Order: sequence, then structure tokens, then C-alpha cells
Amino acid sequence: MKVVVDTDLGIAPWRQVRDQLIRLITTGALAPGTRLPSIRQLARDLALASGTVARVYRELEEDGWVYTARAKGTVVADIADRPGKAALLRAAADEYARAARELGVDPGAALDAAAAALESVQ
Amino acid sequence: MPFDNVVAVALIMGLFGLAILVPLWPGEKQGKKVLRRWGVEDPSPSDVAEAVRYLRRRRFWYPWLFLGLPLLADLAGIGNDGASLFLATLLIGALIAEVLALRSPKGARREAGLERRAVRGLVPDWGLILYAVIVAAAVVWLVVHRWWALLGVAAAVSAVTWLVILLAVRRPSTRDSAADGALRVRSARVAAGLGLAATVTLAIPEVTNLGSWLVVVAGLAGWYHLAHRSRVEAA
Repeated sequence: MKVVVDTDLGIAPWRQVRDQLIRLITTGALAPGTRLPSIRQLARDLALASGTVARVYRELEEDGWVYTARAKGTVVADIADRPGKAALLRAAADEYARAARELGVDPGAALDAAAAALESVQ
Repeated sequence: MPFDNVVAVALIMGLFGLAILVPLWPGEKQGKKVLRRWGVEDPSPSDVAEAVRYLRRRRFWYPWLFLGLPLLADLAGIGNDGASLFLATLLIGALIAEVLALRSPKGARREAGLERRAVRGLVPDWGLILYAVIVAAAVVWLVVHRWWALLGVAAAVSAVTWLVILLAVRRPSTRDSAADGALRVRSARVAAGLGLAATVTLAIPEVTNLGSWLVVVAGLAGWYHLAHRSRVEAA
């Protein structure tokens, strides 16, 4: 299980890390109680500033995805109402639509890009 | 020493070092072997490339250390024997390799595993306890005999050993998490084993009684079992 940062994507690295961690938590790949790597470890592995990873963990904690335990570090929280696949897909689509709008891409081109991406990951 | 003599000695040592390096230089076969030994049963080509890079980063330094350390030991007034020189070469080679591996990953795309790394995840508890007991026994032995210079060397050996282990935890991960984890475990366990062996050979150059015999046997057995993962551990 890993997190990837690609600085060529044009998305802020902290956002890439946060989104991937949320996806892993919501899909159950990161089970409740799982200890996340320390801020320094993740920052070194991804060649990011410690402050960037600290911001990700802080935001995840504020949104209730993780909690901090003194002895264990940052731990995945137990999410009572884990969203289903449809909700997750809708959230990802919303995120993509927002990114396409920010880039000023017309809906047809955005749909083509999404279809091409789906083809490429099959 | 006249300058032309220094150049001649450096040249001869350099050529000798190269002659040692050629047979030591690892290829794919050695890369696969080291990964399989440390738990990656079916390594991919990128795993093997990573393992070869890992081995080369160490072995590149061995000839130069093997030739240079006796000179440094003479300058420091410390006697050196074959076993100590061999162990010091491997340990310092590992330290240099781990320091070099600290460099941040380059490129736009970077990956990180989500497993939390710690010393206890790399070296088994029995290895850490054995290390602490052997080092404590060696310190007592050296103090009893008032071998203060050797006590300093033993402290340096422990410092280098722990640096290698901590750097194995700390260095950034490479892309493949299975190969990355296996090579970290190898670094830490081999360093702990070498540290044990170096400590007992330094502190107890001659076995004189049952106590010293027990410490030497425990140290060498610990070295063997730390540096060679057993089938029970692999299962």
C-alpha cells in the first residue's frame, strides 16, 4: 500500500497525499486502528517538507479521519458511516469536475479525458 | 616520505584495490540471491536492479577501506588483526552506503509505503537483547582489564553499528516496498551482527576462562543468526 506524489500533475502535493489517504481509509484499505507513518518518514519518502505532511495529518484529524494518540502517533479512526462505492465515485467525480472547471476545459473534452483515463487503467 | 614514494604507494594500493573490486562487483545474479535470502521470493527486474545498486553502494568501498584502515589504525596507535580489519571494512562500508542512500528521491513522481518503520521492525527483539547483553559484558571485561583504548574502539564500533541501523530505518524508501523492506532488514541485521562480532573480537582477543568463552560463542552465534535469516523466520 503506497501513496504517490506527482508534481507534474499540477495538483498541490499536500492535496494529492490527503486525497489518497482519504480514499484508502474510505475503501477500508487502511483499517481503523492502523498506525500511519510518522510525519518525518512520509515527508522524507515523498521528498516533501515536514510541514506539508503535518498539514495533511492536521486536516485529516480535523475532519475525523484520523486521531493522534501519544504513544501510537497518528492512527486511522473508526468511521461509523463508511460511504458506499456510489458515494465514493460521486465524490471523486465532483473532485474531477472541479479540477476540469479550474483548468477551463469544456465538458466534452473533460469527458473524453475521463474515458481515456478509464481505458488506460484497465 | 618523499613525494614520489607516496605516489608510488598510492598507485600500487589503487591497482590492488581495483583487483579486489572486480570479483566483488555484484551483478543481477547476486541481486536476486540477496532478495530471495531476505524474503522476496519472486523479485521483479526493478527489484533486482535496486538490490544490485544496494550491493554496489557497499562493495565499492570495501577495497579502499581494506587498504586504508590499517594505515589509519597505525596512525592512531591501535593494533589491528585480520578479523577486526575484515569486520571494520564491512561495517564502515555499510555506514557509507546508508549515508549515500539518504539522498532524497529525484523526479516528479515519488512513492511512499504506509508501513511505519522502526528499529524493532528490522531487528528481532532477541537480537536487540543479545546485542545489549554482549556489549555490556564486553564493557565489563574491558574495564576489569583496564584496556581503555580498546574500550574507546568498542564504543566507536557500537556507535557505527547503531548509526547503520538508524539510517536503515530513516533513509527514504525506494519504489518497490517489498524489496525496499527486505534490504532495510538486511542492512540493520547484518550491521547488528557485525557489531556483535567486532565487539567480542575486540574485547576478548584471547579466551582465558569459561566466562570469556561464553561471551565469544554467544557473540559469534548472534552474528551468524542475525546475518542469516533462518527458515523459521522466513516462514
